[in-house]
Amino acid sequence: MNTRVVKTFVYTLLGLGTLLVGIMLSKPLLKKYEDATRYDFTLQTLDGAISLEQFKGKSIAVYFGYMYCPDVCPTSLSALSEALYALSPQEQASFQGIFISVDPQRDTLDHLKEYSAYFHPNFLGATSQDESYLHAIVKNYGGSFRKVVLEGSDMGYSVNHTSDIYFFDKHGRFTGKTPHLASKETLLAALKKAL
Amino acid sequence: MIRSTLLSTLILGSFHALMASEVMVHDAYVRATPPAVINSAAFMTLHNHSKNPLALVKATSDVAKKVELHTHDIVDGQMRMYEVPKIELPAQSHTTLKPGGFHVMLLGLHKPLIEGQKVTLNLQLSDGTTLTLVAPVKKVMAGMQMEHGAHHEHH
Repeated sequence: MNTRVVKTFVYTLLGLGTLLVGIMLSKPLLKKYEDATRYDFTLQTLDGAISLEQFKGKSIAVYFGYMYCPDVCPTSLSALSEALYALSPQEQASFQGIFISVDPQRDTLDHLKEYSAYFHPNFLGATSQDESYLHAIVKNYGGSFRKVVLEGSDMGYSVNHTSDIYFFDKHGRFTGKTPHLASKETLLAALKKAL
Repeated sequence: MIRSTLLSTLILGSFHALMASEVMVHDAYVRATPPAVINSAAFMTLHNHSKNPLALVKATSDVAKKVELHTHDIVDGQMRMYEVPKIELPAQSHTTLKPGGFHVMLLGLHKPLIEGQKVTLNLQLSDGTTLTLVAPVKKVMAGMQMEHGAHHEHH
């Protein structure tokens, strides 16, 4: 009886050990696991909740911003869509762009849907009413945002935010990010790397 | 007598034109709005040909509820946008209002701005003159292509 318990225990340990070594040896697999954990999220869209996980099989680009932003956000999204349109229709079809609003107070889900699709039909807009959750996601991506009251301005407040675009391949592995106001060439290279 | 009045009117008229032309505006455009967006921005290059430093102190337009002068900068890696009291126009040089930098912000648009439309902007300068210009509405991408060279200089 005791020997059986010990045996089971040892085999389990061995099994787990082998699995662990296997994972450690297979770096891409480990990266896949790490990236899936680090970058995943659950956010709301007009058509229901989405997670990064569910887009496996597609290459993904993620951008954080807000619709009141008249300048940086549309510039970034346009540059991304312009680079995307330079790819073949098949390549475009395997791409998903996700615009995450860090201004859930003003950006409604229906507006986000319309806004995102304007840049490319494969772009969707998402957000969360839980701002602390949004902060946690952006932090996981290595970015940040901050709401700043604009005294005397009709804007009311603006949202300072990092303006990088994050790319993932079809297996959910993070393949890199492009900086603020990246050129079309830089974006195209990042898109191709994620394909 | 009539002749001299006419002459002085002409002189005064041309003098006024001269004053007004100390600052010239080039490549002005206003961004077409993506759906559901109620704000936009105007971009342009302002040439101050005079020997005096000037500033753009106020802008108005009938397309928006309020027009403000804004800028962007990067603080701790974050893009920050805020209102500025004026945009300096140094003597004998040009100042460019472009994405990621200074812009004339159009807040609370009465109607969406569609490519091909024209927007009238009144720019008030620190010397009291007002420049009125008609800027075309362009899609974000068209505007970007125009500035492609400028982007490269930054890299």
